[in-house]
Amino acid sequence: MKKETLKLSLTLMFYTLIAGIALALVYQITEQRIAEAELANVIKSMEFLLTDENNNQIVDNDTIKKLVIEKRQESGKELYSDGVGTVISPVYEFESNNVKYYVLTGNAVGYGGKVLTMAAFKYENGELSLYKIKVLDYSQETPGLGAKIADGNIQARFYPIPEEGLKNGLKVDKDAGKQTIDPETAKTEGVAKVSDVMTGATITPRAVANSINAMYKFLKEKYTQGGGN
Amino acid sequence: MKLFLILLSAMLINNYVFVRFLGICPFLGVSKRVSTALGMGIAVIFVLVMSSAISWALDLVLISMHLEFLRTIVFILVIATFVQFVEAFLKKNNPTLYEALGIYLPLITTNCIILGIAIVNSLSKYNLLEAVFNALGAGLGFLLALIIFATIRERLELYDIPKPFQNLPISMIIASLLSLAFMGFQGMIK
Amino acid sequence: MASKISEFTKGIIKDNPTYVQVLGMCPTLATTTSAKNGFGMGLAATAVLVMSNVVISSIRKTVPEKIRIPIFITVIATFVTIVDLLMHAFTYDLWKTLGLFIPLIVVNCIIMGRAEAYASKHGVLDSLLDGLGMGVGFTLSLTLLGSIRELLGNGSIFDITIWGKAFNMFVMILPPGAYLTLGLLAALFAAISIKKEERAKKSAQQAGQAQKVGEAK
Repeated sequence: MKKETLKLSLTLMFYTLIAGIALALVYQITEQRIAEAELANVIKSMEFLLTDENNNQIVDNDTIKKLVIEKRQESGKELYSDGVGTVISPVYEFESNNVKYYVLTGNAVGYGGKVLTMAAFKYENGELSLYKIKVLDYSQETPGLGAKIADGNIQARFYPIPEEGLKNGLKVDKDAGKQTIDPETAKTEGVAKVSDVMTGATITPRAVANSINAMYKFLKEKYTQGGGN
Repeated sequence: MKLFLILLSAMLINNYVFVRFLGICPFLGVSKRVSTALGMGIAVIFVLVMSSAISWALDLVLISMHLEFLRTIVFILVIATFVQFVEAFLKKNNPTLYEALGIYLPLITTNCIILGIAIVNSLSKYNLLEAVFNALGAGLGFLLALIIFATIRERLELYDIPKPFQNLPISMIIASLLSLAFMGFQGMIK
Repeated sequence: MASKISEFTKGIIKDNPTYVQVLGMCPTLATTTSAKNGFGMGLAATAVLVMSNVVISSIRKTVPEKIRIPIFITVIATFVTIVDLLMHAFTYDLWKTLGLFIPLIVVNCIIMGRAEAYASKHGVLDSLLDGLGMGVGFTLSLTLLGSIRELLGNGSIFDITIWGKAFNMFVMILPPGAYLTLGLLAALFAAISIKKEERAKKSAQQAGQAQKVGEAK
């Protein structure tokens, strides 16, 4: 009986070993490609963020690519948290026509997990404003409800926001009690009007607002207050 | 407090059966009698909680050795082994339940909820307590869904269902109504 | 040769894994929010199904009976991880969308079911055809379900706008819609096969009667 169990265990271990080796091989082959795919995703998002309304590149793609590759080792670390939103490293700095642009990533707890947003902030003439955002990860949100945040038109309700609107914290229209406001006026008042396009799903857009607020506070403290880095 | 929220979320708001679509396969086979449903649900909760704890620990080892790609294999083998233990245990200590569950006991291994929770715990980077509460919540939600389903199906046996709708179709339609009902829980946690 | 073809085609209608055998429910409901997602999921599962069927069939005579389940699981899990890595590397967007459900292919009862019921008892070519047939059947089922949900919920199929936002039954993309569509499609399949059975019975009866008349003569 013992001998049989031993034989069975060894056979099982043998098969598991072969499986492990096969996997290690495939992993070796794909590792590079996977890293490139992830990086390409970041670069693509940043290229989108740094394009203006007329589809002109504010910062050319090569500069973006270089900076992303340069900073890839330091990504994924928590830089700052205000209790609701967290800022994740790295922070990318760009300059174009004497205007500074900061691109960074932040997350906040949404419905089923963390919602990850990448945002571009503009620093011009002493004012730090929100230029553009792209919600990167909303996979834990409910499909059809919170996951509608994937829609670029809905994300556009969150930008651009002048510093006037950011200073007291960006809010979703429901939280600000301003559901009747129109989207453009809302932005100047630091409100993201989403209740008309995301009915019944406040938690997800709130998470986006929270991460934007964390990123704003972080930039204000670390980068612009001290005269820029 | 956060633990309680995780549990509530997994159990009601993001109910794994009606919202996240995990753990559906055993539904049709086990939900015919409330007693079997109860037994199955409890067995699943047990396997869920224990295996998610073990998987959590092993995940730490995998991460530290940069062997994340072995996650799926390791998790499923842990689950399979654990189910074997439960089977052996039940066979000896509670043969009636063992007989009642029949083929569905080994099938707990392929219940997507168990592997699903293990992976979700890993991706959400929960600590041990959070992982266990998440598993407990999911298991309770599964049990709840199973029992509700079984009570409905027991009643349904008294009715004359048109032939094409028997078994799978009518069960799915009932599930859709239950899913609609569970959506009412959305927004419960602010 | 005809039997080889039927090994392949049985998975498409007669033994359709989704609507007839009731296997692989979890990904069926979760990934069919659009035609493209259902299709992608079906292809990934088919790849794993075919590869694991072939391997399990080739080792079927050397695997000790007592530990065959863990070994099958290991084989399946290995192929799932390979597909996962390949998709992560080469089809990033689809990989991100399917998310959790790619590793969950491991517990897709279709794959384990075919391994246990067929591949472990038949030759490599037959197992390959069986896996391919079941996989195609599964993919078609998922794509059908996904197309209906996408059409009714979003007004498009495979991202091609059909009637756009003009008519949207939003609930179709949500969980209840998934269950409902699956239930109705399953009822449809059942109705078709019941009709077929009745027709076959009728013609058998008629043949029997004709024979009796013939004999009486």
